[in-house]
Amino acid sequence: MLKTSERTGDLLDNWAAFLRSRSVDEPPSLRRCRQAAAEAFARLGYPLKKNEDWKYTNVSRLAQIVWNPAPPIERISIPDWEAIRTIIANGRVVYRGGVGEWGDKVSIDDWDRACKMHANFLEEHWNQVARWSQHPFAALNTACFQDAVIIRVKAGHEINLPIHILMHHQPSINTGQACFPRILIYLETGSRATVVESYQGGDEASFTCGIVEIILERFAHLDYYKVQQEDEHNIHIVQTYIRLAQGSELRAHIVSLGGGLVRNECDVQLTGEQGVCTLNGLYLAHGRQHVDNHTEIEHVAPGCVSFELYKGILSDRAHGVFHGKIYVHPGAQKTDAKQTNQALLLSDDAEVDSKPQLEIYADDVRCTHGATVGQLDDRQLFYLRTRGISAEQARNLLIYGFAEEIISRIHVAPVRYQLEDLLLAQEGLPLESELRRVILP
Amino acid sequence: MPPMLEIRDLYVQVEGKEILKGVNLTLPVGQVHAIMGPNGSGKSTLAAVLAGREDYEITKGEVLYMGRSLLDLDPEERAREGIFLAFQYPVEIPGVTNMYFLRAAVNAIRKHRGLPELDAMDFLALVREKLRLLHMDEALLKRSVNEGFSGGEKKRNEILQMAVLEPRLCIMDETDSGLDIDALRVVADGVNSLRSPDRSILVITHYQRLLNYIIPDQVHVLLDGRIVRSGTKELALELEAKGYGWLERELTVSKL
Repeated sequence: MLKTSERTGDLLDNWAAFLRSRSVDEPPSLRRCRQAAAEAFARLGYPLKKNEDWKYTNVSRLAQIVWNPAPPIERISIPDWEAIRTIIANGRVVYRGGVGEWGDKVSIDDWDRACKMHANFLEEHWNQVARWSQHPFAALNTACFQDAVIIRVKAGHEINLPIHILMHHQPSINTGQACFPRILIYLETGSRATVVESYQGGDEASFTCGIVEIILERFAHLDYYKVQQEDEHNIHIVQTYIRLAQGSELRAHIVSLGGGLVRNECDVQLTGEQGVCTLNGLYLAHGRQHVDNHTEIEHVAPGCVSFELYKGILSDRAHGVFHGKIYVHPGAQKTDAKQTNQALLLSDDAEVDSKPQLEIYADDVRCTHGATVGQLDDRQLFYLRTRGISAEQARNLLIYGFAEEIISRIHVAPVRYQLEDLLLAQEGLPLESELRRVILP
Repeated sequence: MPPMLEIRDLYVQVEGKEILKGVNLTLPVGQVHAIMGPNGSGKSTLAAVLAGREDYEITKGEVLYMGRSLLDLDPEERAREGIFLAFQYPVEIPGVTNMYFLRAAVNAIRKHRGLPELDAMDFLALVREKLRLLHMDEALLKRSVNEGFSGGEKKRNEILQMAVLEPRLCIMDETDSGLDIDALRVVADGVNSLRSPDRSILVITHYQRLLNYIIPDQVHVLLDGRIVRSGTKELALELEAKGYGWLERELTVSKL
């Protein structure tokens, strides 16, 4: 029934059989939704270059690979830092740590369990913010996702321990292998939580196609981290859809360290007054890595604030893309939106494309955007070297200094330390960050 | 024992323009010398060349540091060998804390000298002691290098680095500029505390006033890229009274 074409590859055929074999009893409306999404993808196909949203990111190779479901894997190591942890390996939830003392304040379920226990909740909140009917990859994920993590924080509660979702992609077949992780984070009125998503693994023949839906009810507060450190050839396309109700606040940190072709999309709707959304982005790209940060912030309600600060460090022939759309609806008066995109180019062949897009239909607003592209400063390098620091270490210190503005905003210590180590180790710097940990809490 | 620094007939061009035109200078071990001169005389160029700035072209002459040729060394090698330049305009390094930077520098130099690197606690003990010496607030350590520092804080931060790195040869480029009298005293006290029989200091300044606090063994006057006169600290007072025009006129007369 689903017609494959050059623009969709054979993907859906492979997946239809796989999904039929699954035993989960999905609520009928969600089953219909899968079907509709499959049809949407068959209609939309993989985006082409002439599609303005995909102008700088070429995904044509996706259609040339036969994608198969990633097989289950047996073993996975569990990070040792303390968190309420769930692990998705090759698209399936394989580990669900206990929520312990937080049991009555937060629930974390996989797809199977959520369908059994919380069908009503799913009917109400699932697929509510993902734009699956218009976006090819959102359609693809909605049609094909194998499993999901549903996080629900109860009204008025604060979860002090980070909730960690680790997405591990372990290639084990020779042909293309795809994972479709799917997450719903739902914060009830007045609740607060910290969620860390990390992505790891993969190779040149693997594809991570994810959707994260984040719904913040009134006065909810979420500190959200997406840390992508997959294999540097992996294809990673993840849409994060966010809806903020009145007085709620999201602080998001989108960090890309790995991946071959990376597309992070953040689609934010500020639907209630006094909502605050901060997007902090950091990416490091070398070799031929391509990292595309695509953000769309919609100010629907008046009096909301959105801040975006994206920083990229590019070397070799790496390519960075930043697309920042801000859409201010008529009536969204007193909107305050600020968008900043900075890139540090470490080689002549590295490249960055920056595309701000402001569409403002209200008159009493403040919207600013700025983009800078720079190189390391010779005066700073000289200064460091006159203190005995080698040219290479001086470069690394300056690179770190550039990234630090984002790193300093990361409040989950293990994530911050892990990033410092990763950043500094990747740049060949001795691990001096120990000093910061001893003295700078 | 060779002198700490010996500059022989040094010619330097910056962007094709000749700035230093045959500088000769000898700084013995353990002494403090001052180089005075008006704006544009080449003072800062000389300081930068000694520290190893690469965009300055040396067309003639040589510089010996403790008897060995200096000019082929990279800036970091010079620093590790014991040369320290206190900048006229210390550079801001956003995102790198002063402490992080200082420890990287100390350990680079210790490593070069065959000493074990300092761990966080040993380093902190060392730097705290130096902070007290300079009446500096420990909070400065946690801020980015020179970022948002006042003029006085920047200069004190230079002296702090000098105190921590313990160089053999200190070159101070207009360290007095932009300092009020109290800050000047603190900086001068810091420098004086570093005077020692095996350390030499080259104080580069436009004005005599710093030399009231850091008493030099010798004063040299740099005019139009050459040392035109050398003498005792009284020369500085004479310059203060008569102005650089006095020497410039004398020089013109002697040229005729």
